[in-house]
Parts: sequence; structure tokens; C-alpha cells
Amino acid sequence: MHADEAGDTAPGVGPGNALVRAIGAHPLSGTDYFSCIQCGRCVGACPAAIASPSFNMRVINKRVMEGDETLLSGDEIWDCFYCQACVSLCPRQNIDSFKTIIILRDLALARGHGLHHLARILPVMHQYMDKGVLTDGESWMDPDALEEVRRINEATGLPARVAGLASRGEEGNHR
Amino acid sequence: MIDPVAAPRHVNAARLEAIPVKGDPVFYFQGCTERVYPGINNAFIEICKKLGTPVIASNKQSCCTGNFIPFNTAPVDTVVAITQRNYNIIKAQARSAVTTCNGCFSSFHQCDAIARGNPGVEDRARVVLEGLGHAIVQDVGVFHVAEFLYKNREHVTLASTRRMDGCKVAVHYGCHFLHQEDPAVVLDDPEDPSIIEGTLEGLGVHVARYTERLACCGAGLNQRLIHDDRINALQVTLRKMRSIKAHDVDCIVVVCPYCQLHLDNAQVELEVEFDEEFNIPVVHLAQFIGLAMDVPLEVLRFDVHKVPVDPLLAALGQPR
Repeated sequence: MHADEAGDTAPGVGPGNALVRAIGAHPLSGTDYFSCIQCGRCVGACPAAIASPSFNMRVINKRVMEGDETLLSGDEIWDCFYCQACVSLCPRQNIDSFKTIIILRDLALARGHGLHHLARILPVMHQYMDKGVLTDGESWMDPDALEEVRRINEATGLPARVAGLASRGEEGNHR
Repeated sequence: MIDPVAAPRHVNAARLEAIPVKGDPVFYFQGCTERVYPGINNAFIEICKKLGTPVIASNKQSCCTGNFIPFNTAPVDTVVAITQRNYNIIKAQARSAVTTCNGCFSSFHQCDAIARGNPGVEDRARVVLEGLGHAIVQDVGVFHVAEFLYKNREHVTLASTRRMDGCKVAVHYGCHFLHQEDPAVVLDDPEDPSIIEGTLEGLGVHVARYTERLACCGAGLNQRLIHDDRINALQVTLRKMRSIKAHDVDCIVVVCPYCQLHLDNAQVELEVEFDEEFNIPVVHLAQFIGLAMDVPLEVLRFDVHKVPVDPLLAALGQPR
């Protein structure tokens, strides 16, 4: 289940801001942003901060606390390496920046931002849906087992999700 | 040299206890990226034969779904249900699975954490799975080959027939072995890991302690898929490779085929983009232990590596 809307109220500072509420409605949520002490350990461990100096997880968490929804239209959230070092090293142990970035990207996609970043990922998803295996080459799966996987994918909405992202990406290209 | 059975530093005792011992049957969970380096799978199977570990594999398993959530392309329900289906396939044959991929390792544990935090997701997965004759499984352990070899390192040393004390290596743990949402599934200290060194140094291998040893390989999971400009992420690889080169090692030992793929291929890109040559072979821990156990080179399939492994082969000692 992905969040389809990022909230419908005005941004504001504090736990009640629309961005924090939208994040809280996502099935991966669980971070208490307001317990972040802004120590910056997440930045010290961050490979994305080396690759893209504008990527600063401490600042992203602060902007979430401030309800800054320009995060969703900006490029920063697409620079995370998903290494999870920030999660391991957080002294508060309850700031999951890995999931925060996943959720922010989901919210961005739901608003039509960043769809072009999926251009090389969606074909990989098609490979998986066809073969049960992500990489190139023949499937190793027995036909009956592959059919089970296809039924699970269908029942849980994977093909619809992939098709939806693809068609909205196409629309974006033609605008 | 570290005594291969010495008391480890910083090791999670409960996790260590749960890792299969050499005679326990294990399910070998296949990863998709290992198909690029088939020597990894071959090596693991040969190692298990030499240790006396029965190995079961199955073409009923699918891919792990490891990247789907960070790809932002799959519903959480799909990821949990597919993971649970794979647990069912494992449980039908063994109590534990071993994987040679950080992505597969991380995927199972990530999904467990998601399911624990979302009872509704697990309930919906149960409905789908029961329609296929499966159930929700919570008593299958998924372990990494680095954990398995560390737990059984005394036997690894005994089964190794080639002297390795002429080899100097750089170890790359990889992010998704060290960093998990649930600390209970992390064996080592993510800030100062030592288990791979413990396994290798038991064989007499010299392990370089280089500055960037905890740094990401630079693949950044999907960074190189989502950006047209791939140079930024390559900066991380460049820093790591410079740090490794300063120690004049015979190879880099990795525990993840995706890190292996990146570090192997990126050396060509680094030469093109930054005019820096490295030529440092990148081998998986299973392949390296395979060398120590005198598994034939054609089984270890170094022929598919981009960077030739000749410097490593030249550093190997004679059979004992």
C-alpha cells in the first residue's frame, strides 16, 4: 500500500504538520522526527554526502519537522544511497532515515515528481514479473512456482503499481 | 594472526548461537546477481561438501524482493507476501537458509521488521498465501555466508589445504551486511566489524586495515539506475579504491555479489573518467575460501571477472 496523497492541509511547524502526517500514514512510517537531536552523526556516515554535497540527512530530517514540502519536488531525496549506516549510528535509535527517504520518494511520485528516475527501474520490475528473477537471463524458477509468484504479485497489486508509474511517467514525458 | 577460535570482540552472542554448525543441513538461497559470478554459488557448494554440510537448493524460490521497496515500485503487501512464500519454500526443506548476498540477507530481515510493524500487512499476506497452500512462517533463520564461515572458522581452517599466508587482502563488508533495522540480526559491530578478518586471519591471510573499509562500494543500491549522471556516485568508489590501493593488496574480498559487480566493473570506469588505474581483483569470500580449499579454478569461474585475478593467484602458497 503506498500513500497516494501527501496531505491536504497547509505546512506548519510541529508534529501536526501536513508532511509529518502524510509520512505517518505510510505503512513504513514509525520515526519520531521530533526526537531528532540534530547531532549530524547520520551525515558523518553518509556516502551520499560525499557524492552529492547538497545531500544532508540531518537537514532533511529538520525540513520534515518544519513541514517543508519542497522536499518532494527537489532532487535531494533521490541522492540517498540507502546504505542504512545512518540508521545504525543514530544515537536516538528511532530515526529511520532509510525509510524516511523511501516514504518521501513515494510521496513525491504520488505528486508526479521524480517519475523520470524510474525509467531504468521499471524494466527491471517487468523482468521480475515475467520470470520471478530480477536479472537478465532465463528464469531458474519451476513453471508452477513461477505461476504462484505471479498470482501473489497480482493479488497484492504489483502489476497495477508498475503500470501506473509507467503511464504517469509517459504522461510526464509528453507534457 | 588471530586465533581462529578465540573469543570474538563485539559479537552478538545470541545471533552467533543461532548460526548453523557444519553438520546442519542448510537451504542455499540463490541470489540473482550471483548469476554474473557463478563461481560464488559453485564455491559455496564445494565449501559445504568439504565441511560436511548438506546443502539444499530449490528452483521453487523466487528472487528475494530485496530492492523493491527502495525502488519505490512495489506495494509493501507484495514484498511481504513474496518473502513469506520464500520462507515456506525454505521451511519445507531446512530450518535455516544461507545466502551469499547482502541484498538477499537484508531483504529477509527488512521484511520481517516491516511485517512486525504492520499486522495488517501480514494478515493480508496470510490470506493470499493460504490460497496457495502456504502459511506465515516465523521460525526460519536466514544467515549470511560470512556468518556461517565465521561460526565454523575452526573447521574452515582445518579443511583448507593451501597456504594463504602470502596473501594480503582488503575486506569490504558492504552496507547491507552491517546495517539492519533490527540490531538482533546483526552479528558484528557495524562500527568496527571483525568477523571476516577473524575467518581470514585464521588461514594466515594478512588483512589490510584501510581508511575507507566501512565505506559503501559506490553502487548506492540504485543510484546508478536512477541518475543519468553516474559520476557523483563513482566518487565514493574512487575514494575507496584509492584507500585500498595504498595498501598494495592482492585482492579485495567482498561478501556481496552486487558490491563485487560494482567494484569489478567500476575499475574500468574509473580509468576512463578519472584516468586512474587500479587493477585490483575483486573476489567473493566464498571464492577466496574455495581457493584455500583447493577448489579447481574452473569451478570458481574467475574467467568472468572484469579485473583478472592473476595477482591473487600469484600470491597463493603451495598445497599443504
